[in-house]
Amino acid sequence: MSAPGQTVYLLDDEPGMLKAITRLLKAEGLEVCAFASASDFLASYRADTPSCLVLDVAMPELNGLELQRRLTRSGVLLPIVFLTGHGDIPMSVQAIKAGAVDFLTKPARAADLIRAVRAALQRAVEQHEQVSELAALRERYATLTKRECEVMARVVAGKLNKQIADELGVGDHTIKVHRARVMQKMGVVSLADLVRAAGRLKP
Amino acid sequence: MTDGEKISAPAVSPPGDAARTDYGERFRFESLLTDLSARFINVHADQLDAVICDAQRQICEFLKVDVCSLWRAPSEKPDTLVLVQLYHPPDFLPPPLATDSSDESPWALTLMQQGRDLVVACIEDTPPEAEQDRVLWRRLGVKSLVSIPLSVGGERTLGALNLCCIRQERQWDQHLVSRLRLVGQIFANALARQDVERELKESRARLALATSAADIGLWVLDRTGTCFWVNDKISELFGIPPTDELEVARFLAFVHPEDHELVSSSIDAARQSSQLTAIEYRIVRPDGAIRWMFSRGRPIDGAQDLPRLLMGITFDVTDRKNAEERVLQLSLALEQSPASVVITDLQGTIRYVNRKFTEVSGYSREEAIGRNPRILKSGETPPETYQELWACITGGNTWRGEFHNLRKNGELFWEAASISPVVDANGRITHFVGVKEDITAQRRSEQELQQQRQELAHLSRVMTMSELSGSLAHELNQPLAIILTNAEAAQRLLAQEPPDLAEVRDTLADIVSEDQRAGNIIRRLRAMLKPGHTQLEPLSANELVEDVLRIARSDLIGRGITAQTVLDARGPRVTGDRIQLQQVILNLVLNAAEAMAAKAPTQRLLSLATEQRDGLVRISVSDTGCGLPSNVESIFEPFYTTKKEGLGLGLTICRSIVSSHHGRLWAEGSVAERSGATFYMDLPLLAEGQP
Repeated sequence: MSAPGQTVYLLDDEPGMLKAITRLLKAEGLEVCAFASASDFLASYRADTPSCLVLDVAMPELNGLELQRRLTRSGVLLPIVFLTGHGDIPMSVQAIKAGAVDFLTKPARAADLIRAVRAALQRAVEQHEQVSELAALRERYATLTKRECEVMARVVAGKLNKQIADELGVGDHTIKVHRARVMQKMGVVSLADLVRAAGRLKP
Repeated sequence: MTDGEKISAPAVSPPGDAARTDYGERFRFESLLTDLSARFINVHADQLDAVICDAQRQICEFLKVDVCSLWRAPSEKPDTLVLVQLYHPPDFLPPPLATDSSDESPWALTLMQQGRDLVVACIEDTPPEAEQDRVLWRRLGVKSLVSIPLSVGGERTLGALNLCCIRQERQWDQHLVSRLRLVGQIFANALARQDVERELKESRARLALATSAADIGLWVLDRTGTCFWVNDKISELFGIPPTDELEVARFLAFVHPEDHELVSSSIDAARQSSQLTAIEYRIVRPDGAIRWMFSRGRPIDGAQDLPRLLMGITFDVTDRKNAEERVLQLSLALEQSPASVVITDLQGTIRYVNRKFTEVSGYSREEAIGRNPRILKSGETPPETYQELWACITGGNTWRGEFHNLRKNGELFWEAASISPVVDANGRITHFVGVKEDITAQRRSEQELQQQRQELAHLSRVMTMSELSGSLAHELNQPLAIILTNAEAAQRLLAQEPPDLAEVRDTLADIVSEDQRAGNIIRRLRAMLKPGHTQLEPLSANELVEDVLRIARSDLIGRGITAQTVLDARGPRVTGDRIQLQQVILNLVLNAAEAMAAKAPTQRLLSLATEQRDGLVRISVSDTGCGLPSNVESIFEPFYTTKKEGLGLGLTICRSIVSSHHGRLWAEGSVAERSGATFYMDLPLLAEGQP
């Protein structure tokens, strides 16, 4: 059973295969969105819920690896389970390197496929969570004033208050106040947490 | 004539010195007879009339008779007497030249015809049956007369010699009459001779007419064997000026040197033989022309000890000889012909076969002649072939075709035949002549070639399929994977509480249909790999293209090639072997795929099209690949290859397959243009309504 809102996108140009996998995943209680072509899929894909993609490598027009590249380029974090007719090792290595969750050879056993899909969904949930945290962090960061941003950048760079005050041409006390406000706004309690948050904010 | 007037002596001499006078006169008469005989013997035919006339005069003068007439009784009209010669005094009224004596002097005629002398001293003393005769005599003024019937050797009466007195009566004593019979004999001989001469003349004229009408040369070789008498035709034949005589030596000079001995020996033999001798020989005419002569001669029996005459005819047989020569050459040619020749009559009965026929069929000439050519029938040639053949040749046309026939020994053989009607001068068909060639060996090698081609095509197909094996495995894997997934899905559906039976049913239906799909793929593969014989059937060009794409689909996807089709909506059809034509298209598709390997995936476009045009169907395969070498034809040569593992036979085999379908395979596009290549296959269109 998948959590509500979790979707398995299925993409295969072979209608029989599409139907069979859909049937199998639905029997497992998964929500399935099946597409026979990459363009149909791209047109209806929404990134707002954790989801994964079961993708046939050999597709006319746009093959699976190509689609994977394209999604990565556009910043879509979609865990992919590849299905392939021929177990082509270089191709699978390439896919895994590019972030594929699994690479299954047809005919794939139902258990393997389901395990791979669940793993992909799990990763999707995690990714989704990470994405949500980052978004919150960005929101906090956005509340900082210009001076607070300047102070934060120097704090996480490991500078002492005195050094920062000198650089910015203000008094030590003023820096202490800014620093406390930054910690508060960013929702951290330790310098270490602030450094980690700053690291995540960096693109 | 003055002699008549001199007659003054009494008709009857006094009995006293009668004897003396008689002897003297008899003696003189004898010498006259001798003289006449001599003159008649030596006289030439032309002068005979003059001699007769002179003899008459002498007799009249000698016997003191006024008129002497010589009559002829023609054999065809014995009652009519025709005057031959008349000696008479000027005052004598001449009798008509021809007299119907049965009318005018029946009595005298009867006596004459009986061969009896008519001796009348006084016409008034003649018997009553001479009444008519007397009328005539009186009219002519005849007072006394003697008529001696003329005949030779006791045969038919030829005529009569009459002596008449008109001035006075006279007595005819027995001696005188006897002597007159001798005179009559002389005249009779003369008449007979005249007859013979005339007959001979007529006969010669007839012969001359006949020989000239028959265009025949006539000759007689004299007894010495040195000179021919010849007619004008001979001169004409020999091309020399007209002559009557031709020396044997001169004749032999005309004879062709090669025939010289034959001719001279034949002349000698013919003179000895009593048989008819005939020879054919050549002569060389003065103008250099060589002519063939036919001569036939036979000796004419003469007196026993004398050498015989040889008489004969000669005519020109050059035309016949030439025709014979031609016939001989033709029949030699026929006999030695490497083709079988059969001549039949209108009923199909064999009238002639040449030697080759006997060799090929195994039937001797004697066995074949009089029978029907169906003795060769094997049953392998369809009946329509014979119907078509008869319709054609009885219509006056030449038929050409092939038979699968049976030799006498039961062996099957193939014959290519050409059968024509033989037409006479009136345009009527009289015979049929068949010229046939044994093409069994040719057929066999064609079959072997065909088999080799098929084997090669099969080999190529197997290689193509092995090239495709990866993608074909994938193609087959697909339905199997679907079946597995469906089956496992069904297991899970059944495990649910409650199970979704409707979905399970659906799943099972899908499993069945995918299994059928897998079965079809396997059937197609087996067909492609099977070393089958050519099987011609009507095929849809569109289906051929679609079938090939089905086979190549996975491979094309694997190579990142996009395939498109433009199929003629009319659904044109061709006759062909499905597998072989698929093989050709598949080869072209795979070559195209190969040619596009270096291109970016978005530029790998394969187009297949079918198009019906002008009685043919064009199937084209285009790519956007590297193009073709400038010498486009070289790619169809054997062992041309761009692949490491290829044999370089693919296109060569494709072309041979297309040719065997009476089609054409060619390519366009060059490296220079960088716009890829297009291969075209034209096949004859199978018209609507044809099976």
